Amino acid sequence: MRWVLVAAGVLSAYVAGSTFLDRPDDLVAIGLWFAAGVLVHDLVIAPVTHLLGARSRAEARQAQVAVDGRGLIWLLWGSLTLLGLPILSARAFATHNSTELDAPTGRALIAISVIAFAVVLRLRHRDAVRMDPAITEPPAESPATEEV
Amino acid sequence: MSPLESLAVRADRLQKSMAASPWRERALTWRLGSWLAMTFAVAFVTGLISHAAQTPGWWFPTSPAWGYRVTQGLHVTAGIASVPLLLAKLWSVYPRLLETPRRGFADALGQLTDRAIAAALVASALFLLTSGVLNLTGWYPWSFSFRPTHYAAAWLVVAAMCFHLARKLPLRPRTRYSPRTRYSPQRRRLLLWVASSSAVGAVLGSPALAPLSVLGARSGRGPQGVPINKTAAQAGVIEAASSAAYRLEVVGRSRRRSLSLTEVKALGATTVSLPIACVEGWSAGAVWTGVPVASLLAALGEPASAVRVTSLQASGPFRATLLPAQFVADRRTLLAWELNGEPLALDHGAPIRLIAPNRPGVLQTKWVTRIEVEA
Repeated sequence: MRWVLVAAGVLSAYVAGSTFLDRPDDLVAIGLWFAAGVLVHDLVIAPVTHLLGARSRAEARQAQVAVDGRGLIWLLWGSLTLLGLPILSARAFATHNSTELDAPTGRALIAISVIAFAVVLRLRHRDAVRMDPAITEPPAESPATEEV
Repeated sequence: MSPLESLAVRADRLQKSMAASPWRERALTWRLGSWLAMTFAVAFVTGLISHAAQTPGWWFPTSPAWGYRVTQGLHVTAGIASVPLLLAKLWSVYPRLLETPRRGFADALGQLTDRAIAAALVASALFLLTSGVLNLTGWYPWSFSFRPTHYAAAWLVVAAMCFHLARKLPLRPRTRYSPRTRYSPQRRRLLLWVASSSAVGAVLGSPALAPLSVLGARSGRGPQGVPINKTAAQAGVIEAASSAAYRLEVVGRSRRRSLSLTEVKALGATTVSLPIACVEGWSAGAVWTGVPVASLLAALGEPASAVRVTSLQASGPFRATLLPAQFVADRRTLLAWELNGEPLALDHGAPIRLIAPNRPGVLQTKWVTRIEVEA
């Protein structure tokens, strides 16, 4: 199986390489886009996600509650925002006619963000109430968890 | 301790704290990778079909008429569904990026090989999704041509994925239910949310699913019920296409004719129901009335063979397109002057446009001025 995969990999790499080399003048620009994607992910998206997660983790330890629900809501919100933002950028930078880029993207993103913030605030409030010693005793066993 | 050593110690601590997260685990990574491989496989196969449809050979079929509509809709939807899956997969393996270099030649070489493969895979996969999503918006903030680069990047993803799997197959979790690989409720919840993000993103983001896709680039609306990629004003053809002096040049092997719109209509009208589907994933069903291209050639005494269709527009990559013989022979391939029971709008290609079954929208030439039989 491994050798079949290696052979398929070599064949695919040949097709990719020969197609790239058909346009040698474009190679530098393509290389920059490839590198930019990795750098933006590895140096911006991943560390920011980790830092946000670390903050939530600290909150979770302090409050002795699980906060994974909030992280997962941000996961959904982030995915949808990533899809919507290029459309808003294209509206600003690309030539388009009235039937292009005409979906209610901006309004949808605002609605999605409001819902996400509202749900997260509600969860925070629920956790705060749960942890308020005046209302209830903290649980005996800490279900503190890590955050995404 | 030197600043470099101090940085290495910090990176090591960060790596250990990340790797110790109860969320990250090999079985979870494997599951996310399997899902991603599935969406990428759908996008790859349908992408190859789209690539072939853009330069159709003698073998490319004209039926089913809705073929390109379905395959390109799937291509775009699978690509969008891959965005959350790829990010989650990268998140699950991110601590490995911070691992310190291994000692010993064999271990170090293995680690270097893994990193080189991962770099190619991550770079090409991120490029594929970024360029694909930007193509949906018609925004090209780069100097290179989209189609060949997207195509080459797809093959690079496949190559890197094959090498990656060849290296990682021995690490595959043996059984789903062994204590080592059992998912905690947390991980189950994470998988559920990643899958939900992928599905919700695909529904809300894919232009193929308009009007549900509020985060898609298009509402799916347009004049006469069909969206437009390029208007007559954008193509610079308003004057020529509206002129009473408009003529359709039909060039055969031995004869040629110059026809007015009235003369074209006198060749006989056929009405067909055909979808128009674009590479950006949007599509619309419509009813077209026009003359079959085969009838036009027959009027010149020409058999149904491949023709070059040229537009009034002065420039642009799709100014002239090749219509293979099997499309000419198909009686549903029309030079149309009516759309959904109304005279064709100027922005849809009036006075005459091409409409053929199972053919990408960019090849459905608008403002047709010349049909020439290929030598």
